[in-house]
Amino acid sequence: MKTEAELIDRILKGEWRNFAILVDKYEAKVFNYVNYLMNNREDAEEMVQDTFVKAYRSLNQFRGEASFSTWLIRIAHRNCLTHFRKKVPIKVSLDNVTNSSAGNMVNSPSKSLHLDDRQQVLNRALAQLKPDERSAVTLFYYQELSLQEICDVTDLTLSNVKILLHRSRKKLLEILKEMGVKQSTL
Amino acid sequence: MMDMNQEDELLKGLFESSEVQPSSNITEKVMHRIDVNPKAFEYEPVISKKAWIVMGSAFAITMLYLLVNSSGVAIEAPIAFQVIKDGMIKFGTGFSFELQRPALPEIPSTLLISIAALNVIGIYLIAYIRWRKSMFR
Repeated sequence: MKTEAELIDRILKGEWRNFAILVDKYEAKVFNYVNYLMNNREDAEEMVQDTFVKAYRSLNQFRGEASFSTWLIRIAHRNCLTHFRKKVPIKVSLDNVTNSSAGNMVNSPSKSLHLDDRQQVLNRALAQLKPDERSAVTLFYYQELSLQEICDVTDLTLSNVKILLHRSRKKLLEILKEMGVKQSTL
Repeated sequence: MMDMNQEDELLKGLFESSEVQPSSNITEKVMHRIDVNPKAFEYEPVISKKAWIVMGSAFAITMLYLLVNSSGVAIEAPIAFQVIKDGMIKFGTGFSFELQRPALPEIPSTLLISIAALNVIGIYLIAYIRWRKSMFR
C-alpha cells in the first residue's frame, strides 16, 4: 500500500497513471462539495474534472503543508469562485420550493424524509444562501474541516470565517425550520 | 427548541445523508485529459513574488541612500521667504537658499558593497533552498 506522498512522488517522476488512484479516492468528496456549491450536477461534474486536471498540472507545487484533500478542495473552491464571477446569476423562484414534493413531505411531521427528499431539501435550502455562505457550511459540516483549514481554503482570516460560519449556519437553520425540517424528520 | 449540538447534528446528518455519487467515468475523463500532455506541469518561478519584493526593496533603499548621501541638494529659488536653520525659522533676506543635506550616518563603501553582495547571494540562496525543498518533498 503506497502512501499519498509516495504516490505523488511517483507521479512527479513520470508514473502519471498513478494519478487515477488519487482521483478515485477523492472524486466523491470534491464532487459533493462542488455540487453543494453549484447546485447543478452537470456543471459540478465538469468542474470536478477541471479541478483534478489543474491539480495534476500543479502537483509540483503541492508542499504537503495541508492534506491533499484540503489542497484539492482549495483548487475546487477557487474554480467555483471563478465560475460564479463569470456566470450571470440565475434567479430561482422560491414558489417552486414550497410547491415541491420535498416541501410537502417535510411539512408532515409523521413522515421521515426519504433520501431523495433530503437531497432536494438541502439543495433548495443551500440555494437560498450566498456562494460564500454555502461554501462555509459545506466545508464545516460536510468536509468536516477545522476553522483553520477553512481559512486555508477560502483565504479568509479566522475571525472572518467565524463570522461567516455563524451567519450562514443561522440562516440555513432558519430556512430549514421554515421548510419544516426537524431532527425527527431525518 | 434545539440546542447548539442538536442543530449541529441536524446539519451534519443532512449533509451526510444528501451525499450523491458522481458519474462513474470521471476518473476516465480526467485521465484522458491528462493523457494529451502528461508531463506538462505548470511553470513555477524559482524566485517567488515575495522574495522579489524583499530584494527589490533592499536594493531600492540602498540606491536611495547612496543617492541622498552622495550630494546635498541645492535649490535656487527666486523668492526665499524663510530659512530653516538649527530648528529655528528665520526670515530670509536673500533670494536663494540651500536645503541642508540630511544628517545620515556615514556608511563605509565596503559596507555598501557587502549589502549589494548579500542581495545577489540572497537570490542564489533562495533558488537553492527551493530546489532542495522540491527534491525532498
